[in-house]
Amino acid sequence: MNALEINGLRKSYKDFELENVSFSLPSGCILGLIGENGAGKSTIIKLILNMINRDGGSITVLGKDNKENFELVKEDIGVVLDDIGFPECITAQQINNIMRYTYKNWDEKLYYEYIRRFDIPEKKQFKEYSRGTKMKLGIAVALSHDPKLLILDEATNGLDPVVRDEITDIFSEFTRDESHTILISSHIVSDLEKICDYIAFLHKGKLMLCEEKDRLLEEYVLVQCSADDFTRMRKEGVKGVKKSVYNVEAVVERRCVPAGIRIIPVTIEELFVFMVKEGRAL
Amino acid sequence: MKGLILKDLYMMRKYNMSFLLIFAVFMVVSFFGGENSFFTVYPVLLAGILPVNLIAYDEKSKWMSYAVVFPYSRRQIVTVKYIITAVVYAVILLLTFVVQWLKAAVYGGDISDNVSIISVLAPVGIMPSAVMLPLIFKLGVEKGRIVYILGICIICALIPMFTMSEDISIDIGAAQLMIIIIPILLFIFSWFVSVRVFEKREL
Repeated sequence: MNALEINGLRKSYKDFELENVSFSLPSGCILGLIGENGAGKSTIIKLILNMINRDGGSITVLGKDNKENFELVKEDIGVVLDDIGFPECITAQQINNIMRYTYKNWDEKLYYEYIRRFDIPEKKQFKEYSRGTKMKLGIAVALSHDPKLLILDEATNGLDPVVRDEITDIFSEFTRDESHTILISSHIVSDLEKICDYIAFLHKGKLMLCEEKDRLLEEYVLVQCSADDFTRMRKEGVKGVKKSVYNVEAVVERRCVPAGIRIIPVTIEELFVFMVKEGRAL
Repeated sequence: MKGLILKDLYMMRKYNMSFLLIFAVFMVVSFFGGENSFFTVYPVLLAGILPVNLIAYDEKSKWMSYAVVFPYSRRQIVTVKYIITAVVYAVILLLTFVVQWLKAAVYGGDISDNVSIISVLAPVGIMPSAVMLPLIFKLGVEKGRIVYILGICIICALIPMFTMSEDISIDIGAAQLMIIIIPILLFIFSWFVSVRVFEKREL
């Protein structure tokens, strides 16, 4: 079963357009939505959460249309937004009291376990927390009501590398249960590369690709060669090129590279950067 | 909705203590303050500021966008603000009456003038909230307040254009009843409009 299905999603603003985006996310998997700032990642997440109205297309979350009785579905969704919007005067303890009356499945014990694990002061006001601590509190709230789907919009931004590593481990733990799914957006590609099963590239409101990460890493390679060698390459397989006076660097489909040319395994970050610069879809 | 109400109560305790202190001072002054009805009536008229104040703090922290990710409908988010507004009015009104009764019990004398002024002004006092809340849910606190003030100015400018004929006789009892019923109906209508407006708003 797919935890999330998006078909032909459209949304227009004066200076930005999300064009006909379609992808699905199977249960038990992590999908990373990668894109530069302003690519449309937050717009997709806001549309999924009904924060803004779509111009066209359909969104099914945990098997239900997100325009029908979405309050019930939200019981099974944990969300961390780029801006954690708790009132400034509220403490972590008070958030526990509020959430006890908010979620039917609120797990107070688990919440306080995360609070201690993340070193969040319980009695400080929200405005006194650093950005990283606010994010960690948002993540603790999102995880403490037994959600089936986690939706994370730039959730690792503002966190130091150690905490980011710890949190990506928590996300991996979360998806060990096959009914648990994560949609995570970020422009820090290295974080997503570590944990995602599926990768979706978004560029200027267009979905450039949505594919299994392992398949991408298997099918594409980084090539460093001379300009002469590059002319021997089958051009339909070239997804992005950087030319310098010394050599040519390109991301190419493995099957299109002629014998004798040195190939290097490509990273998701390199694939994304080359593709965005080339402005091409796979 | 209990979680949303609890959140607003925490915020009121933190941000509105100064208002509560002002109400307390006004009530004490009205107790000892002889026949001056200003201190009796003003807290009732001031009560509408509290919920608007809460929404302003919600906007500052971006709570309005964040709240919709929790299992609440937009209707519930709006309804809580109306419940808070109605309860604040009811509590302040009740306290004002209690102070007036105590005053009569301690000093003797007639409080019927003050009580009848409150009876009329209390429902009228809820009208600014009823008008302002839909504007705030549509436009946000800053723009909503500006549009509200502009609206009041336009109404004040138009009032002199309508002069009442001296021949019309007014049934005082019916007029008092209308003064109570119209603001309550307006408050209910306001809630309905706010829900519709907030359901369509992009966050």
